[in-house]
Amino acid sequence: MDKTQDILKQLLQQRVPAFAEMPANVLDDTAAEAAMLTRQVQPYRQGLGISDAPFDYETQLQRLRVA
Amino acid sequence: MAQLWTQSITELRPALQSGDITAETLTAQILERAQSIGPTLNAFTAITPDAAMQTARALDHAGPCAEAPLWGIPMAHKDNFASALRQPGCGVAAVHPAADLSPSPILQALEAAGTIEIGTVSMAEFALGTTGTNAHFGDCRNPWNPDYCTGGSSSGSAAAVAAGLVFASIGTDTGASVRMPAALCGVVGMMPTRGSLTNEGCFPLSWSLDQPGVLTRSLRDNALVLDSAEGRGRVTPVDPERRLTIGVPQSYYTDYLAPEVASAYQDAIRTLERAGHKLVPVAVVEGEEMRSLHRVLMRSEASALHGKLMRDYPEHYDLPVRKFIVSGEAVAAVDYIDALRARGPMLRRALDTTYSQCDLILTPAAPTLALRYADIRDAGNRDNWLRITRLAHCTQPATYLGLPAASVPFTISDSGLPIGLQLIAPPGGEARIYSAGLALEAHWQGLNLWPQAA
Repeated sequence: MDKTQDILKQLLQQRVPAFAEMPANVLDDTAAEAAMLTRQVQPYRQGLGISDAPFDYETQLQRLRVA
Repeated sequence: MAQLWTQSITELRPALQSGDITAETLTAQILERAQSIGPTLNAFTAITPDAAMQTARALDHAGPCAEAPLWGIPMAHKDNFASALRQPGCGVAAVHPAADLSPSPILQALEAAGTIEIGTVSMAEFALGTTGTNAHFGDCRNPWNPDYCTGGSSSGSAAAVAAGLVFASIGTDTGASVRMPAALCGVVGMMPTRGSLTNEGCFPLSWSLDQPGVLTRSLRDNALVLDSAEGRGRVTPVDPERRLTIGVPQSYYTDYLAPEVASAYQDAIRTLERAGHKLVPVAVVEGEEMRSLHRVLMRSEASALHGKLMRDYPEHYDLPVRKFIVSGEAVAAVDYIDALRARGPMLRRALDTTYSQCDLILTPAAPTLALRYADIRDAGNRDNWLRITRLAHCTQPATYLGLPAASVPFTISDSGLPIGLQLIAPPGGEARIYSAGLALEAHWQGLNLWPQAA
């Protein structure tokens, strides 16, 4: 288990007490999945601009409609 | 008596409107099938014969109505929609104790269009699951072979429509849940442009990704039901004369394909060319990235929604669902927001590249055929686990971008399981999908097949 997973495992144990009582392998699996989620966003952050707000997406979806 | 259930809505409409077939006759026939075949497929969470027959008789008493385009058509919808009479069970109970939703405008619009609800169809636990398993109600069985999965999460919708137990069903799609079960069960599954069908009155899974969709046995039926469900008076043209430029992705959607799916994909390309469409190779940008960011949104939002519910009703959560939801508790707020922010730029890039060269694209709907339930149970086997996790590979990018996409049945495998193809269009491009899909549908209908359960 790497450092990120270990931190997230502790975080999950604190945030979801009932889950903390689950078997260790379940906790480890879930922490690994959480770490994967965290890593997946990082590469795209650099390319985002000031105007890239979530509402801009909804506007574009309407503006770019085709027949 | 004629086997009315084998006909399409489009075929039945004139006879219903003229009074040659009554709503009561059609509903009685459909109810008989739903009650005899439905349990073997585990396709329904509830069948309501008394209420359905009462509605049918009331329609007959009032007489056919030309302004009600679906007059007298029996349907059943996924059990995550609320109606004026009931709250949904969400695949975990007869009625979810915390559900307090206003009636779905989609169901109200379909009722106004003259449909008859005969019950509710089964679904994955909280619409979270791609295979059709359900720890609370039991697995939903594929009508083509009950040893195989239906796909999910709109499992009962696909099974019931494929087996001729209803003519249409409204499902929901948060990444695959309309299109993939439609592909594995041999029916049409349309996820329209994000926002076309309202999420109001539907128990959510992921607010920014959920999109109701329509499952039917034909494209024309699908357009008719979608237009009626929207309730805006739109008539989406399904034009057999329309010739389109169809993009053939050179990457991402061609990953992980089972040999029979890859072969069907090539056959479909040739079929569309023979029908007069222009097929062009197109580059796909950021497919894996969209899938990753989709995952971040879905888990974060499901976690926010279910955190308290999971504490209050722990018995509703099977372990795989619990793990999925809990992982979202660890996503940082800034990561979640950036996953939302990246949607606009990615939509622009997709339209400026892939969709600038064509009217729509053709992809497989799922990389594999339906999986055997015995293999799904053995998910500790890495090959099985990979096949399960990749079921949504082809469908998730369109959900992340909010693009309309439909699965259309095309052919049957050597093992007797259906293979569907997916058509994805720019926003608002449902008419392109329906029109292009006609050639695929003609190939499927030419095989003249019905599932063994029918």
